[in-house]
Amino acid sequence: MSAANVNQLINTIKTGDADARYAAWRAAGPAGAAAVAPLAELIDSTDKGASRAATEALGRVAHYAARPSAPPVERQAVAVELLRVATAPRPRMVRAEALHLLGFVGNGNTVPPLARLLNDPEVREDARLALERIPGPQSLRALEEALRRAPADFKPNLQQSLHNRRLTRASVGTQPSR
Amino acid sequence: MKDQSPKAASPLSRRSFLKATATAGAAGITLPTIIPRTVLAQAARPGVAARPGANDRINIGVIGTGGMGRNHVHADTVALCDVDSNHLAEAAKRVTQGTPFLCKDYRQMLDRKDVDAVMIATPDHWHALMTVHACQAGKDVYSEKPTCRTIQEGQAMINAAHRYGRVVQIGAQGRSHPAARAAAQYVRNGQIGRVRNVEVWHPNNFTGGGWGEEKAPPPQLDWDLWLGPMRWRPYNPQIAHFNFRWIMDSGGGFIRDRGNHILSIVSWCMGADQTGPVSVKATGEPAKESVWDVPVSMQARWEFKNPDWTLTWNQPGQPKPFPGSDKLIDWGAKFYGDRDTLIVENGDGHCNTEDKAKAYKPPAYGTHIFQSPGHRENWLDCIRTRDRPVMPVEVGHRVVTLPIIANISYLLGRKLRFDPAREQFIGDEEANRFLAQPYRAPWHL
Repeated sequence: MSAANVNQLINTIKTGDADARYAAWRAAGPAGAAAVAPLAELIDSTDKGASRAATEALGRVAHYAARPSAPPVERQAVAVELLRVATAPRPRMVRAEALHLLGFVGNGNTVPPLARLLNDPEVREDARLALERIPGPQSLRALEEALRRAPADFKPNLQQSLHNRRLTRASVGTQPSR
Repeated sequence: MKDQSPKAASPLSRRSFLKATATAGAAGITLPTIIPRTVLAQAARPGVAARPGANDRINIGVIGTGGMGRNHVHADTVALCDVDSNHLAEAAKRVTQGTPFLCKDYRQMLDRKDVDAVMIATPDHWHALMTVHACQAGKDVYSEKPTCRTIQEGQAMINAAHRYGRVVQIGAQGRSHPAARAAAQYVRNGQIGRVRNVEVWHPNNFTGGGWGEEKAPPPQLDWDLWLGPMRWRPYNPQIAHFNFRWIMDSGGGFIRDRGNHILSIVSWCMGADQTGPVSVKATGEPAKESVWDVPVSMQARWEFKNPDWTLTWNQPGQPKPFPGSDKLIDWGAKFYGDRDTLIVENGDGHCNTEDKAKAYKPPAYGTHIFQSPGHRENWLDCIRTRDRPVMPVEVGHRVVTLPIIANISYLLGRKLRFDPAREQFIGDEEANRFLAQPYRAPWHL
């Protein structure tokens, strides 16, 4: 999607009527990395229609970039932009939404900056959930490493993620968890 | 051929049962109506159920007492749990035999030795965790449909039921309805020929709701406990209570809500309770200006192999006339065989089907399906006999897999290939990240 089209997407979500916004976010997937930051900005809008449309559009962008046929560079670019949103001084709900999507788009390259967010009291729980969802040894190691340094009140959360990561299909639900 | 006959839910032997009762007798305990069943179970062996006698009282607690949960509260319910104290107070009025234990945290109920079994009627995002915890606490479980929200949750429920030897019935009441049983016997005995297509139709999701208002929860509601394992979000009266159904995280829309009823009957009729589809594609249109995020209209198509057949979900679908009457059916299923068709209406506790199926008697060598005396009654019977209930959690998991993977396809906007044996998507790494849902601390499976 060209820069002009990304601008059109943003403008439609910002000022369009309900029908126009709806059509815009439904088609937002190919907008790609360039749309991430302006859409994140709009999530914080006081206009609930714009906020919802931006949230939906951002989700479309992320899932489109994580489709099986997507070039790795395209997926990585979206992940990098989502990380920028997650680490920026934005409202917590906006950062949390970016982290939620990173759980689907993120990969080994995304893990180190995500792991650093485990030290951020505002979004550390959202970062933990994202890391728990990202498969592979890097995210597992990041959670293990974080557990060694985490403050006492956050250690149980990390232990929970590590427990979940080590579950097998046959063992889930069978370990006393109360 | 006999099919769907209840099977043993636990490996309890006659010897261990006799040992349990002997232990109780030696302790000078007068058995029948007062002693909770779990006391006997604990005397036998931790984690393995004892068999209560036909006259033993089964003490039931109900978790989630608003909405559907109200129907589960009986005059002799011994414990009630709800995160909304108004619900709790209303439910307590229905108990007229004794004073029920009241709590807002279900773990307090599970800790009680005078509660033998629990009925769970909370929003969907609690079903799996509460079932697992109840099994671990030695309680038998009746959990409302839909069974769960993710594949991993369903697997956890099954594993817990097996490991702790519990009877777990899922509240898809159509499985206990005579009309649904008649339809299943009719189709599975080949009366409409080979079935290659099944169409399910249902009206659109509700379109109201609007934006609501994000604000502090009312004083009677513990919002954090309502959310439980779900990702945190601010309270909004358009989400709780009834409307949790129209949020993907907590309800999944009609396809996972009422869809579970009719999809359960389709699976039963098609003999697909032990398997699943090999692909799914779903599309839909959500509300434009609403806090509700599930699709208002939705079309889904699942493909099955060996035997090959397809299942479609049309929301909305054209209401179909009920054969022999002027009545139009709002939601139901139509089975297309190569010799005839059959319609099943609703699939829940108000199920109906055509007279030809209701009049059909299978031959002695045909497929005979167990007739449940009623969904709750079957559950209570199975608690006593330790048999497998008519809608066991294993089957509930297979049924709910259909809407779960359809919703994933809808969210991702692409057709997905699925391996029903491994219960994973094929060739779509991102889709597989939806199979489990990380829980908000401190909750975990």
